[in-house]
Amino acid sequence: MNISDQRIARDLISLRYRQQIINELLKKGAFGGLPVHVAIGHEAIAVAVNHAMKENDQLVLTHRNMHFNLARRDELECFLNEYRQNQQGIAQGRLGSMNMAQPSAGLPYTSSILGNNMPVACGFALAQSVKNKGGVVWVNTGDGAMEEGTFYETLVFAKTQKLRLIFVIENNNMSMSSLIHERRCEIDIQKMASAFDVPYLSLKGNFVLEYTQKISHAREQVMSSSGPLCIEVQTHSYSQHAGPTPGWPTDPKKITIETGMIVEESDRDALFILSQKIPPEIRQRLEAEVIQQFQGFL
Amino acid sequence: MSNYIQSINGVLREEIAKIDDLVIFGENIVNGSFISGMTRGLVVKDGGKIINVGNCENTQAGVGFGLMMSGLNAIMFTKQLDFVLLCMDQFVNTYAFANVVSKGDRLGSFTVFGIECDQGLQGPQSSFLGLAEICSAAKCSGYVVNTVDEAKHLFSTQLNSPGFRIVMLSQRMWSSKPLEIAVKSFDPKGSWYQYMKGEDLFIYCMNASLVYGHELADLAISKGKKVSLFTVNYSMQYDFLKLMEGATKNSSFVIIDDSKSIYGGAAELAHGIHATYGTSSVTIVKREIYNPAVSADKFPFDAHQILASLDH
Repeated sequence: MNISDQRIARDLISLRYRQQIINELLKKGAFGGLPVHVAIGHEAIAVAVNHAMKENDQLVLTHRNMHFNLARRDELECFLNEYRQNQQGIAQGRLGSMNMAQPSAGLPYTSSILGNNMPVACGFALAQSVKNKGGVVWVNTGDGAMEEGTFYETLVFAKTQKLRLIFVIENNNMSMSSLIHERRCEIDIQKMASAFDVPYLSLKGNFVLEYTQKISHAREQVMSSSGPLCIEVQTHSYSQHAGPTPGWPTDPKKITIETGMIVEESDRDALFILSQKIPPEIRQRLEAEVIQQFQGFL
Repeated sequence: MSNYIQSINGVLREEIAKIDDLVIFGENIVNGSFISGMTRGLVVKDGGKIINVGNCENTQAGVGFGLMMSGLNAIMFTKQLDFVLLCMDQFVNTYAFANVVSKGDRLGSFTVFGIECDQGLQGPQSSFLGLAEICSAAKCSGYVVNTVDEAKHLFSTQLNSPGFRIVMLSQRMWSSKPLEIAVKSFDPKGSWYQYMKGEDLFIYCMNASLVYGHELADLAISKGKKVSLFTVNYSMQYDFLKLMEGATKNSSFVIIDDSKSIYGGAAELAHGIHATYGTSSVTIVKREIYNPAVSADKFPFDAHQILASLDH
């Protein structure tokens, strides 16, 4: 296992562990009433996108942005301070959770309004094109937000203007509390993208090294073709929609840091998949490093 | 002799050609009638771009804010104010984020530039005249261009000014000869323009009502009154001391608002005048009932009756 892959594996472990710490702090009411959307289960795509991003790339996020923000910066205190709304926060305590962004680190905009961020991402991509900056704009959305009309509008706009815009659609089969079949018909995103002659990539299985490789290739494709691309990634949200998990005493969803980083022995859990794919001694060493790095936060 | 839109378009062409890093976009802006002549002949400097886009106003607004947050200057042209309603989420939420995350000098500019359909012939829909409400929700400035002088100042100072604003033209005035009246003084940010200065009667014209205010001013002057005449745009902060400079305890104040705003504009201005000057004698001339049925949209204005009521 080469050093680069070990770095990616370590980032995945770190992201899971830091989200677990935040979940434990939420259980204690550490951030008052601040609405925090934990994304345990979404780590593989966040780490993969972070490693695929190059200089001048930009990533535009949604209300559930924790995994992408934390993946971008292997720290914890600055994020906790943002949730505490103090000046030591990553955005000086002015953006909180649902709008958390890091403009200086290529995360210029985060919207808490479903569908709002895709047109703005188009604007960033157009600016990249006009000023010939050489970067790609990534925009995160989900199976809920892509129901909004802006998904359709921005696909058309980006295709027409030949913008280097990559849609990262996290399909967790859930919009707040509604499963897809409980709220709408099935939408075949591949066919939808095909209607606009937009390339499509499907990611399943939660293996972060495979995701990183495929996403990096997708980025090269966008750079060479100068047009948008859709990535649909199957995810599973172990966390509640917002706040801690469990969210109430009888909540069927259970996450506790005491039982370790793996939440479920299933291909829905990127940490479990990692444990099956890399040598155990490397995983144990990386886990020990991460725990050492972030000790004392609980 | 040029009409209103030909004159405004001339100013627009001149000022747009001076702006660096400018991206202008909108529906039908480079073909057909050029949105009834509004965008005819626009040329941007090298490094800028003009884009004819599809029908997607919400996305267009988001694109404008993305350009603005990238440090570029953006102008979105739109056929009518009604279409801007589709952009409200971007105006309210994206601009709020931009204001928080960006220091003023790091922002580019974003201007929505369009037309108020104020003739009343479009029918129940397509007759929206509530720029004040939009500006109130978005926390942005809004301007309605009444004269060529206003256009010259507004376009040269606002179209590349950091942040977001909305500029509207009046379709009612489209083919008319522009009002030949010169600005005497102005707010650097364009929140007001003063055309006459006198202490007896202060007339504040909101939206596209300068033509009515001018009529009232002329009548008052013919009766020996000394008149201050302003157009007042929608601003987050008015300098009421400037707007009331020269007023005495015998001064009268009239606000004319030919928009269809209920909560915005005139009421806010009247409140400010009252709070600043302590007078309650502010007359507001506006529409009493908003009738959305299709009909020529005559603003009920009787200068003689207004002046008589003030004298009384």
